[in-house]
Amino acid sequence: MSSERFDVVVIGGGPGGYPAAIRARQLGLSVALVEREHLGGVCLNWGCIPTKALLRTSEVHHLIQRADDFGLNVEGVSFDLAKVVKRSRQVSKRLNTGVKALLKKNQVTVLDGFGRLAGPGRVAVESADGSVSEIEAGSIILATGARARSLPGLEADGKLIWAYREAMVPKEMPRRLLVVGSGAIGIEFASFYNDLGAEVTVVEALPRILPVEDEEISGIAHKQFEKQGFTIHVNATVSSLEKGDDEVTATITPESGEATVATFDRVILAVGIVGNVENLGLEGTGVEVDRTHIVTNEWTETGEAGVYAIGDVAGPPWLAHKATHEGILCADRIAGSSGLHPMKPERIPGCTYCRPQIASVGLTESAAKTAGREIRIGRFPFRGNGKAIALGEMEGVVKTIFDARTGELLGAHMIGAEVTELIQGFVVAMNLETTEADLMHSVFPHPTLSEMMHESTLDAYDQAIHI
Amino acid sequence: MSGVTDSIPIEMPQLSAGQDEDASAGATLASWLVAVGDLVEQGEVVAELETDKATVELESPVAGRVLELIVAEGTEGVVPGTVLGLLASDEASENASAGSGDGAASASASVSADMDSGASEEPAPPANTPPEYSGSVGENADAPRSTPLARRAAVANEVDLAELAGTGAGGRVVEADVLRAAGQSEGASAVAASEEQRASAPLDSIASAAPVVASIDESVALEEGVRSVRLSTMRKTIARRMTESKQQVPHFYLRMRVRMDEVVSVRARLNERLAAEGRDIRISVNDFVVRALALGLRDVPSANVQYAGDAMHAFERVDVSVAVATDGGLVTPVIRDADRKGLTTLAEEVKFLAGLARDGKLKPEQYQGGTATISNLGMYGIESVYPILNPPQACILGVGAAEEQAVVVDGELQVGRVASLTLAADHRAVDGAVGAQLLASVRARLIDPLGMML
Repeated sequence: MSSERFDVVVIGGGPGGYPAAIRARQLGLSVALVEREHLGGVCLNWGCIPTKALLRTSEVHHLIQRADDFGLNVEGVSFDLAKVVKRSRQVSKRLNTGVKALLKKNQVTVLDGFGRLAGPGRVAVESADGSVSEIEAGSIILATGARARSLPGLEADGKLIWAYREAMVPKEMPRRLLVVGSGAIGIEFASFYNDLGAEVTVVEALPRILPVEDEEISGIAHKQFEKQGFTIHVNATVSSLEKGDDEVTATITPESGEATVATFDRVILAVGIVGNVENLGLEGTGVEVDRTHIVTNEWTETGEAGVYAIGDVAGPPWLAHKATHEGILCADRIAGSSGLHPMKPERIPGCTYCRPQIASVGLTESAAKTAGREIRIGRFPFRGNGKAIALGEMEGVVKTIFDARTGELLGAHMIGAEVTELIQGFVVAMNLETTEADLMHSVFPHPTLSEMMHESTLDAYDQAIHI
Repeated sequence: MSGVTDSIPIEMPQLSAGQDEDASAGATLASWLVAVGDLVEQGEVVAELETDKATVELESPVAGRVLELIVAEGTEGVVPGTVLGLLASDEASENASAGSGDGAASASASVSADMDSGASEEPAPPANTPPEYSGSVGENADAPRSTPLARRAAVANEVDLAELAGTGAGGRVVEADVLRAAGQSEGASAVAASEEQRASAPLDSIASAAPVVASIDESVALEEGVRSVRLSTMRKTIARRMTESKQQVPHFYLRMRVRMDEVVSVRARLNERLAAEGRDIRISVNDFVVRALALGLRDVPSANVQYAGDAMHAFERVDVSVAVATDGGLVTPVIRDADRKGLTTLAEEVKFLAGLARDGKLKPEQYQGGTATISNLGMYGIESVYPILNPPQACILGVGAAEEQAVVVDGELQVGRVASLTLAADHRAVDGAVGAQLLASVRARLIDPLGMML
């Protein structure tokens, strides 16, 4: 029996898979995309986008609390949680429909079902009704993403103990919330619930919150969050969760010292993610799995001829924009495009949309030192910036790290209002291998927050004007 | 930041009243008398200009430092008002050296200040200024596009950007390209090192399976009527080796016309005999050429050599590589000890190896280690072949078609079969006279093919 053949079959329609499919079509290849649930993946349906919608609500709510600062009289502020969640879901729905339209416009064949390898150049698609069909594929892109990690004894039940998915659609506001894990996901939820009035406790096993960020930024964030009312335990783990009727009793065990017991209404588990590598038919192929991630080279190739892996399933950093970039690179690689460049992991920015926001790219101060770089560090505080003062956002800093010998911009780390929208300037700068001189010679518009990027650069060379 | 430093143009003056009427007859910039970085006095002669009537000296409009020479020496038809070069006035050039220059002109100025800082009286830059390498090394017109970091690295490592091929987006030269050229490992940074590990660790198995990628259609439509086809490993190897050879090996060519009448007639008789004996082999003209070259190399051992840096490798064996066209590209199987094999043996061996080559089944030992190569395009009617050397070999013989031509014998016009043989030789190892001896020997063998059957 002959089956339909595509040049490229993409398994998974998230922020890695659907751009890969579109790019491959642009390059003249025939493409099928197999998606088991929602086009747009976790990012668009259960991650990046709906949480940004929630955080917008908590941000506006916070601003209203400060209305008096701006000379506004606002009274009797309250919120309707169901409407908050509904808006977040509508945002996702709108984008999900958008992805569907994009794929249609680009003539990508979308197959609903669970895709897996079925021998060289073959993909089996299992539909929801259990029927299985097979298609032929010139190349196969695995873009199956990842899911929340659960630790032994700390499994989400969806009711009292949530993973990100339940945390995004709360039915009622928890009064006391425990967040286990202080990476970007944990901190964003902590910030959202805290700004809407929950008492939030964060537990982090490592010595500091937001452990991938620059230590100085982590420290500033820690202080800010405590000022906002967070209870933060670092160097501590949650050793047990005992569920009651409508509450959970947690035992929080610090690395040294006495364990404490506290009761919460809800718990959010945000202790990392694991790749979706199960039931993909990888057994007996050359595709190598290291722990829960598929091993790839810099061209997204796996150990099996004609099989590629991109995005979360191919390992950290678990970021949608990394997946998208890999997806496009992968499609170009398959099509034999010229002038391709492997992605440079140290140039992938990271953003956390808590309040205050955090954004970074490149090496942290300690990583730069560990790498043996002689460095110059620049810092510029929000309170020295006119626009920040006008906005009433005076907490935060822009920190830059340069190689003292060559002037290379090694890293940029920011905390404060809107920094997630600023970081791209440094990303472009890094990609163009600019030095401090080019940044100094660039004219930054006044009055904007971006002037802090300029001043931070100047400060690294003791030339800052406004501090 | 401090102010912009002004650069002062050196302009082509009005040299004769009639010049504007015929702009194309502008003056020639005969020579520059100053270099970038030189300090000049006001009125000092900086260049010589030539009109159709006279040579004129061009004086500097101000005292200062030469920033840039824009118009090259020897440029003709330069019209009045053209900016020939740029000067930084004394004041401006000092500003530039303080590291706060703005824009390309002053950046170049600071470089020049840097370069001769040992001799100049420039004040040392304050400790907090950026390391000011930036500049003109990377910004001459011939240089490829490069990143600011790459330009600094080029200055720091004394690498000429113009000689680099960039690997960045759009062919831009990035820092890594410069460091590679300078012989520094990228591993200097831990990031780069870990990146390399990531790239290489899981890759050993994948690298060998590289053609994998092209398992779908190997070509992609770029636009109407244009397809982009991924290079095979073989094609890449050919591209790399031929580029290296053409760029790095100083070839010279010697061409000689050779009467092939005897070869053609002897070959016909030999093949008749082979057919009569029921043997399934035919001798080609090329087989005669292989044997002639093999014997020629034995006659002229100083041509049977290879250039090897500090040494010359002289071979006792004579192994002739024969270029074979295959679907994937050119391959050169080797006939070992070709000087000790008869024509039928050669014919059988060439046929066998060419078959393997076309099937892609040649083993490395079957295509490596030849001491000279033959490239014969005679079967296509090509008159003369000018081949590119097959490194590290020092000689390659291009063979054209043996066709009937008018020839003069003892003052009389006759019709004869003539082929053109072209020898390309590596002049580092083989001089013209040696190449000529080799070619003469090959010709002698081909003129008298019975002699080479002994």
